[in-house]
Amino acid sequence: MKKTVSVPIGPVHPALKEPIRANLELDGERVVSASVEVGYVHRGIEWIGLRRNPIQSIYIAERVCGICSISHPFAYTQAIEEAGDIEVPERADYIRTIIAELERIHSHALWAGVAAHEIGFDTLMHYTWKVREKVLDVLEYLTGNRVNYAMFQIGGVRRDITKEQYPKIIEAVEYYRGLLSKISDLFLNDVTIRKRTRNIGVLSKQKALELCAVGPTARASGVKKDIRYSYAYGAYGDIGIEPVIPDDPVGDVYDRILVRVLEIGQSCDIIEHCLDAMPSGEIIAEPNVSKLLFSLRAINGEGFGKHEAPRGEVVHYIRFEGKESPTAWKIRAPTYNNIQTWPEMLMDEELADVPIILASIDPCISCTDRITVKRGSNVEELTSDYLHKLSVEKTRRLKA
Amino acid sequence: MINEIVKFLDKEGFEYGIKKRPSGKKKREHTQIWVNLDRSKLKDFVKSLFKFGFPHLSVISGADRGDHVELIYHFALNYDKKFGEIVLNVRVSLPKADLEIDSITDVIPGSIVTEREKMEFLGVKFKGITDESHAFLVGEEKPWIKDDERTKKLVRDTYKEGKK
Repeated sequence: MKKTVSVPIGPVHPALKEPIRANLELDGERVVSASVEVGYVHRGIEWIGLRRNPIQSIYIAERVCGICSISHPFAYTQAIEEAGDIEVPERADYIRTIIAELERIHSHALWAGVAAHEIGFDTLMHYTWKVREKVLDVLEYLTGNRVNYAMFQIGGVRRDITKEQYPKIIEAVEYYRGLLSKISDLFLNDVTIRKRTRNIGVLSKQKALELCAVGPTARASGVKKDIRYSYAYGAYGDIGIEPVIPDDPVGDVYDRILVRVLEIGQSCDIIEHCLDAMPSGEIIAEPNVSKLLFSLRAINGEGFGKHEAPRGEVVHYIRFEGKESPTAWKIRAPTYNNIQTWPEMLMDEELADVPIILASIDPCISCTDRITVKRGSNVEELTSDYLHKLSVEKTRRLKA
Repeated sequence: MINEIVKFLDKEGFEYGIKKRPSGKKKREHTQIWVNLDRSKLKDFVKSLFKFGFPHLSVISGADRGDHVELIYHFALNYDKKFGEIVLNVRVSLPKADLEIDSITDVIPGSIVTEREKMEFLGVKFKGITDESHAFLVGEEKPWIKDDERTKKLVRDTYKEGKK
């Protein structure tokens, strides 16, 4: 009888940014089955939102994710604007889009660093994170914060982007455009990275569709799904982007890197377009918060909003029944769908490849700590360093 | 595509409404369709969506509406066409005394997490679901049910602990 070994990874582990648990069954070094457990950090945000007014909940929505802190307010405010039929000024649509694309650059750069670390390229991780600082500086310059920007308000944005601020944004766009070929070369043409990621963690197009995958995870498998392309909102309806999909998609970790690296360039193009075509006029439908809140209390209806976050579409549904607080609020973050693809990606892969496969969907769940390995009736506790070491050793073997 | 979907909804006699909303300088619109459906027809309805391409299930929303629980299945259709995506929101009502509905996991396997979430938060039973384990919560509270005593107790206890 074949004996398998159970390897639970998480709920706290360096390959993950937040707690989640993957239960693996191994035959030797090969994964023969995998399942995922979530819920270790359920904060009841929707429940809290049902006891707050919708303006207070913008700041709660912003804190659903520290990395995509524009993405949730983008979808949340859209849902309320739908419910209350609030018209957003054109200029606000453009400002929202610029901030969202700056966020995409920083998120993809952050992820690239994590991916490099997972396969043992810490120099590349530090380089990528150094490069990321530029966009964080611009976000801080425009919004006052490196994360949790507090830019969004229902019916528009809270701060304008003035002509005087353009040069710093353009400088950052040119900086990233100038670095793009170098970053592409480092990640996509390096022989060892290619060996560690090509045909690893494959998700077929059919499985991506069946498992409702979103974002770069779906696009790397050849699914033409990017709501900036298919669904007019913000300034995206004026721009007409094309989704980034590999020419001959394999749906492996390499393709997921490729999509994200190319999307940095795409974000630069979108930001530049928005600055060139920025309409004049108001930035918010109702600047007086008391009046806005009063009008929101009168809403009797529901709305559905969504935004293509760096990890995939973020979805918010909200319903009002003429009271100060909503009577229903549902948030769907991209990882909610994408974690379902892990068992498929992990099947028949080596234990040493597990960290980079888990990281490849850019899970919105954080990290630290240890793994417990059960070998038959014996239970061994392996440190996180051990799994990371396995991954680094594989890289070194391939380089030798 | 919108005409084909409307034709299909008319033919089947479903009650629906269409919302369009413009954005940006060009005022290009996106489209949402809201359909009300009897729960007994849900599964066949989802199967019939495949004629418009593989439907993407974003999520299932759920809310306690007093005497019934409402589920809304948020689908995306035609998402592979430039500005062609149609959001299809399918609303189903379940009486509180009988919170049961067919699972669609055999049609769209990716629906399992969102179905499990509705089991935990609202107590909805999905007939035919392959995994009934909790996805998010530890206890048996149903936090989205407004008069759920266990949730009230949990909140009271948590508040007391926090105050200590």
